Amino acid sequence: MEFNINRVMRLMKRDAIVYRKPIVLGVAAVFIVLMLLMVSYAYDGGFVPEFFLVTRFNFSLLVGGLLMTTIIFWEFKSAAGRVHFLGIPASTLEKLVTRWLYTFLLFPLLCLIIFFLVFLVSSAFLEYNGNDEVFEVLSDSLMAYWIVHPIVFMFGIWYNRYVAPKIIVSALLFCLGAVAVFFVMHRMFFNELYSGFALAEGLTVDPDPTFQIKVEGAMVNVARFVGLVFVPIFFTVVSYFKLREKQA
Amino acid sequence: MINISNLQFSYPRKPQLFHGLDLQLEQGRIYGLLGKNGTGKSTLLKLIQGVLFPHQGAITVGGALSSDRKAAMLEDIFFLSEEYALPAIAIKAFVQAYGPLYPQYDNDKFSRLLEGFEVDAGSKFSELSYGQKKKVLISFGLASNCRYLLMDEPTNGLDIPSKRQFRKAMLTEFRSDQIVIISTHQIRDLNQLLESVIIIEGGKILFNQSVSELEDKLTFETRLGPEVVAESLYTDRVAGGYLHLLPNTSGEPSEIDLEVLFNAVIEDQQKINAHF
Repeated sequence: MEFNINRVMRLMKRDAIVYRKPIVLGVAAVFIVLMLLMVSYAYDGGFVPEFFLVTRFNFSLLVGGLLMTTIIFWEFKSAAGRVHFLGIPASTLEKLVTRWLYTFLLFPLLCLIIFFLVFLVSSAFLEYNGNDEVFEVLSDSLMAYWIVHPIVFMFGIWYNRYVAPKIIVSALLFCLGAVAVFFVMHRMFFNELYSGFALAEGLTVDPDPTFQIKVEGAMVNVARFVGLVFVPIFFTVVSYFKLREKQA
Repeated sequence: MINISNLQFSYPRKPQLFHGLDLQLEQGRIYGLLGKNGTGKSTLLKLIQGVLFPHQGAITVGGALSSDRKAAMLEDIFFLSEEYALPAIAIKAFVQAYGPLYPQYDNDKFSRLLEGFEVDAGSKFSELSYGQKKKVLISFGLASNCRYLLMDEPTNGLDIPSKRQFRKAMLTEFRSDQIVIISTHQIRDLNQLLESVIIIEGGKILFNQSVSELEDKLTFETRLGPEVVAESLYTDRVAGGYLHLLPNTSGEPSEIDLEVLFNAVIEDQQKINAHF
């Protein structure tokens, strides 16, 4: 696998030049809308609701960031765009890393900067309620972004058009399938709990509390590993191979 | 060198486009790739660039497998496609964005070529016509100094003076370590430019000869009549008589008419190839 940091920097510069206008407009729009909201609070008593900026940040990150990730390979919409992008003089890994950096690192960073600036500017005329849980709330959304971003990123490469609707349909189908598989397995392994396809009448469950704590603890650890380690690595590797095999 | 061996390719749910195509392209030549609509000229260029993958066989560009799309190979290939997705930015911004991606890119050359095409370097792509955009891309492609230039219908959309300028720029800027492949239907625009002619049809190479070989072996003569001449390999009605494609017995080169050659090859390739 070829990787040259200078080429990645040149690709990033290319993207910054080509998409300068939408980036500047987007940043300006978010900043202006937030500042207008802040000014409206200034006229409405001068107090900002708890977590106001943090919840807006989370929304911007999860909705805006993921939407941006769906269109980050917008060139794939047309055959001419695919020829253009795939023919850019850089390796597949370098192209992947460039777009990954934009959506995974730079977008959240830009969001943080915008919101911090809004906070700084509006602090001059607004009173914020200090809250120690801000970083906890922030870290939850960043963790969610860490898990979901690689999945959306992979679909952004996989699908050429209508990426966002296709991801929603795929996610729905996946969830439905997962629920169906879970139900069938549960039905097979816990046969005595069922009467037909419904739970048996008069069923009472009295689990051993220590067992429940152990199982829950183990499940949380497994879920954490799957979510924070396996999912990002797996989907990023699949993204690389999807981009590698992408054709015009 | 570009080496294509046993190339097989088809688009999904479409008939086979190439059936075991073999082709070697050497440095220091400008190749004309001719063929009817849908014969796969553009596809062949995309396969060479590595943006499409062969189903079987291999294409190597300077020794590198094109389907690997290695950065070093892509840095040495410039593909001017017939349809292009250009960002809505200024020419100067385009150069700033794309120039550094090509290690041999020469900005002075780009400015000179653009001036030759009479395109204002201060324009934005959104203000330019299809032909003007093409002139920018041709200038950029030549200024990239890539060793492999793939051009799909480069003269489409160019006005008459620009076609002449294109030929002039190609002849001036072409280097002996380069391979240029021009896929075109506008063969009259490129008559004096091409050094080799490749004709593809039915997924195979029907004809592949250098222009010098062509001049040695065949001659093009316009005669008042009659329509049928015993030794003629192909005859076409033209203004002022009949243009005959004949075996060159005198050894004197004549002006090549690529359109007549193309039609002759399509009509009976064996009859033409028998003279080489």
